[in-house]
Amino acid sequence: MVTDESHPGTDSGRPPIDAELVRKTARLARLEIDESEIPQMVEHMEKILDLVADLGIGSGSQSDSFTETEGESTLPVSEWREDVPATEDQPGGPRDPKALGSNAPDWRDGAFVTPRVVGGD
Amino acid sequence: MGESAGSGVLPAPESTSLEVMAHLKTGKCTTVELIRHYLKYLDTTGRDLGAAVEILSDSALAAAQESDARRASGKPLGCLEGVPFTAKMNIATREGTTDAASGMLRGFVASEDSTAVARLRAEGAILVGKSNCDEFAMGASNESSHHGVVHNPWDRDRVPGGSSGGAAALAGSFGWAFHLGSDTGGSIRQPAAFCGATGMKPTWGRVSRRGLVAFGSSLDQIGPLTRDARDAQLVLSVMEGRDPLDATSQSFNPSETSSMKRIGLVSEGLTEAIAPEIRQRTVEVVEQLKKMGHEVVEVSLGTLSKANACYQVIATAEASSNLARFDGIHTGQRVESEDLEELYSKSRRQGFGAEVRRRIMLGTFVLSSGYIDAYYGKAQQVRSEIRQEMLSALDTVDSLMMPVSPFAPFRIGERVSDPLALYACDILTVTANLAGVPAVAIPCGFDSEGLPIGLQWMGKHGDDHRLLDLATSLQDQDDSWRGLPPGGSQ
Repeated sequence: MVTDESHPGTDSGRPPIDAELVRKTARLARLEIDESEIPQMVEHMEKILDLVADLGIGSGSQSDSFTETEGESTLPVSEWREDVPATEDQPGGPRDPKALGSNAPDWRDGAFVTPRVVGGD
Repeated sequence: MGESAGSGVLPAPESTSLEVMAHLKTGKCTTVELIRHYLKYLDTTGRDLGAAVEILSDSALAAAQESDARRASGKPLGCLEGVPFTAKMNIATREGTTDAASGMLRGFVASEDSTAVARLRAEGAILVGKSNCDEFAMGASNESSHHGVVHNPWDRDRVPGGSSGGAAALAGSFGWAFHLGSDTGGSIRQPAAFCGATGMKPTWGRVSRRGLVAFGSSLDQIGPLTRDARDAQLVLSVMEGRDPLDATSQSFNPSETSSMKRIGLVSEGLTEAIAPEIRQRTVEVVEQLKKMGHEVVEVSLGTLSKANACYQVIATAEASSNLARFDGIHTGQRVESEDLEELYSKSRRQGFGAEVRRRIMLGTFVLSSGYIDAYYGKAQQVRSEIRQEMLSALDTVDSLMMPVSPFAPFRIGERVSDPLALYACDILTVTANLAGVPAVAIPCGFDSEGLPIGLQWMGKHGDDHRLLDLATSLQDQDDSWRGLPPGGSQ
């Protein structure tokens, strides 16, 4: 059931999608969105969420949403790995620090060199 | 036999990887001659199709020389000795870039091979290139790659399917090699069907995902695209099995050792929504199976109608979470800004393409406070129902069969502006991913326009090789899959 009471629901059971909801979702997703892109995003999200309404959105209570179906079989737990020191990150190993550093734009003294942290002093 | 190169006689263009190995064993050509010719094919047809985006000539020829030296000195040979292969752009390889066809990862070079690639190389297979795909493996038409579109080798105005469109176009247009793809909702099987190739999505967990750029982690699997099921069998047997560096990987045993005799035809795969010629071909293959001694019964999967909706919620939710790491600071292209939030949002806006941004938005929405129970929670519940129904059906039959795609390969640009039209490509393939079961797609003839038709068979968890045995027995009866598209092998 849609619990956000500021969005009353549509016939299909989905909440109405508007520009403000798209802006809010884009902020949560850390995605810049141009105002000019919003109408199309509204349209696409409406279409996709109408498709998703086939699941019976709104027909289940929150309490049963995460309940596994009875008899759900689970795959066997994988065996534990051997308790021995890993050597992959030693020189010559597959994760040799030098090999890792070769992919970095700047690498000095065994460490990544990064731009200054933004917003800091 | 094919054309000569130097002193060697090359295998016929449509030869499978197994046939290529037999050819190399006779000494009719060297591995260097074989690889050199395949590199030339990648650089001509492979590039023309938009399928080959990186060609690793130096390292491939060096590996070929080593292989020839091993053979000449009588040293032990691998079970894929000398066979060329490509990896999709979202599978890590220590040569070439692994950018997942996204501007976000432009120029990224992995420091080591994915487990799947490492195991194949250890058996003598030779990595020759990287194949194009949809950005972050999100798509069904290979139109969202920052490397450009891929063309279907059977009709270059049409899409090859996606997301492993490059791998499928290569597998469909020329033999010798095998190609690694990944399948989250059909991304191996659907392009294989569109391009006339064989595509295998293994049981979830059978092949290590270490080194695969994550999209939907509970759905993703690496698998082979090949000429035939025998090649897929061999490639899978090398890649599969527990990997200590992927805690979700496992070694599986088949549910039974006998061949698959009882086949369930999924009735929902033969509705009016499926193109008539595909339905007709499915019925013909059912008759073929009966002639081969199989019992075919109709089986209903009522949850199939909910599978695509369920998939859209779960796959986008997992994608929005997996792709959160691309923040422009720790990972991904950085757009400078004085404000941290702005740096994140600008970097992500610039790095991701439109389809990936749309899926991140949807995934973020279905996971957001106030909506998570109604969408993500509900989808998980439906996923359990889908899995239960699938496993119950597979208690009554050995395998379930249905078409791969509801329609033939469509024209480039025809569906790209309508996300729902693209998502409809997956309606018959996502079920196997949601249930985690193996599924193999094989080419089963052509429609009246000469476009390939693919059918798929699904089995119980761990029944991958039994499925491939079934596919092999069908391919032994009808060798129409051997044909290459006109001009494809030039």
